[in-house]
Amino acid sequence: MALILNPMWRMRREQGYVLLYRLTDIGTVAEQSFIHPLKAITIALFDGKRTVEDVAHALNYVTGRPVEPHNVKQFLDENSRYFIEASEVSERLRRRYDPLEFVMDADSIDFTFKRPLAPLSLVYMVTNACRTNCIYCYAERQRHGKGGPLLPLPRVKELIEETAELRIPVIHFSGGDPFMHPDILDILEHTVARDILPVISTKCVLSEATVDRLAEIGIPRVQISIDSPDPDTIFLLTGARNYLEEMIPVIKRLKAKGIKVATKTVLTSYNVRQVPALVDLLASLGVDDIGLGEYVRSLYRHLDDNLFMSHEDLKWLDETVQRLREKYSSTSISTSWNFAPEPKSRREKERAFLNRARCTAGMQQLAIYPDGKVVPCEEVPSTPEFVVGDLSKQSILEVWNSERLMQLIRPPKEKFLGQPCYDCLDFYECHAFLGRCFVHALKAYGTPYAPPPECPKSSPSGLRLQTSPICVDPKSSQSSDCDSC
Amino acid sequence: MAGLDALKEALSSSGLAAAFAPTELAGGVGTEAICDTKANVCNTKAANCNSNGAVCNTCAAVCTGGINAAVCNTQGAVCNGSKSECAS
Repeated sequence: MALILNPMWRMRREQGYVLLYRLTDIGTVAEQSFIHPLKAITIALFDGKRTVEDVAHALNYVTGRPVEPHNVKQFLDENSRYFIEASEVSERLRRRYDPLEFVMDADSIDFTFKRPLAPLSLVYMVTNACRTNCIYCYAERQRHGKGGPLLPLPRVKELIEETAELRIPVIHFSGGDPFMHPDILDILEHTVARDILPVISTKCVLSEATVDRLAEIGIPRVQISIDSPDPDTIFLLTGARNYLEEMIPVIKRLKAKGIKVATKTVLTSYNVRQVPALVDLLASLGVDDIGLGEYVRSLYRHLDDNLFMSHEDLKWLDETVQRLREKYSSTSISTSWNFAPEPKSRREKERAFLNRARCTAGMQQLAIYPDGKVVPCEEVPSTPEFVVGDLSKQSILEVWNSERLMQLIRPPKEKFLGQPCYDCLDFYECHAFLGRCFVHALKAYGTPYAPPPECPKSSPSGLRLQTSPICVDPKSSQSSDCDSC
Repeated sequence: MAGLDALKEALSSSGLAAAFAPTELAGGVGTEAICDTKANVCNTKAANCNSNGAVCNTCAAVCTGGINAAVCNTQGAVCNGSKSECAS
């Protein structure tokens, strides 16, 4: 029996520990652990050729300590979920690690949470050009046209090389629409060749030739946006005519070539009640993952609050999706909303905020505009206030380690003069670990230097961001010491 | 042990070898469940998709609570698998 680290798990050396994490096929870090370098080395020694005895022998040799096969066997028993029989993994997917990569000074080992040495993902908005003109679009982009200046292809390839060297496992190709970029297939090919997972979303009509090329490159999955089964509603939401007639064949082409198809639907008051018919259609086409997300206020396109679903819509939707999941049990139907009561009391809101999402902007990821300008989060504008670097001139690592980026994700208190944050006792802790969603603050209050609406100290006068409550922990709101229960 | 000499040397000079006891290999590495984040679709194991269109937002979330009632993140998905597995 020769084991190897399951390809869904990856390791990367960090400061003081080795990061072991599970990467999903949509490029998300689903689980992670900070492990001792010697455990990482032990994992790395399982290279698909060595047996338990071989690894014990190797550890014995390299450490000079009496490692017995039963020690290694015990390690395997405790950690069996991370391993797979090498023969079950194709050669292309086998990822081997050089144990030397994980050697660090024994005195430097420290398992406390630290910002990673490099991003864990990049969002590359390859072009601002787009085929559609969606009324809900969150992106800062020009309508149609050429989409503005682009990074030259040779520079893009250099950056992909650096991405691979930094062990950044995933690039999310976004925009605009990535397929509006003239060299997107070259870029994707280079990405896959460097063992980086490309996550792709599009509204473009992919020809047979394009789909053939995607299959040759080894693209595992493509996401198609489909907002409705009704052409008029699609036109209302995206400005595109004949969209369904054009995109249904694209789904069929991708499926025929063995490429997984995911769909994404942005739910507004205009299309929410069409969800059952839409899911029927997508399931009949064999879509692998049907993603339903609620509309959230766009910084650039929000015309009026009628776009938001009503609370009645959300309640209906939540119940409807449960039924659809039972009906289509073999299809993944994912949702993004949080059907939970809005926190009522200050204590509920405090608890919810303490359990808030950890912001990965500048902490795990960077977003790259088509011209190479870098922002911490793809939702913020490419204005000087938010631009933290320029990849046409700088390396990814230079931007990642720049004072400019740190100033934006951990801003000085002075920036918050007049805001509750200025006097908040939790100010530093708030920014150091979970972070504060400055995009929410920007959307609600027009400034990134304010508490986001989910913070209990925020002003109630901010603009509405979405239908479901932001950062609510239903469990905590139902606990016995909840003020309102 | 061909190919392992460099590792042996590095482990020795780093102090890792001296600090190592074979019994330390016992025990799981443990993982923190994270209902993340960055995806072109906010999938079953993610939540928090509060962008519109192609890309979900940047917030990851830690799975807290117990089976079925656990909350994957504060904006979205519910942990209905186990404490350490967020799924919808």
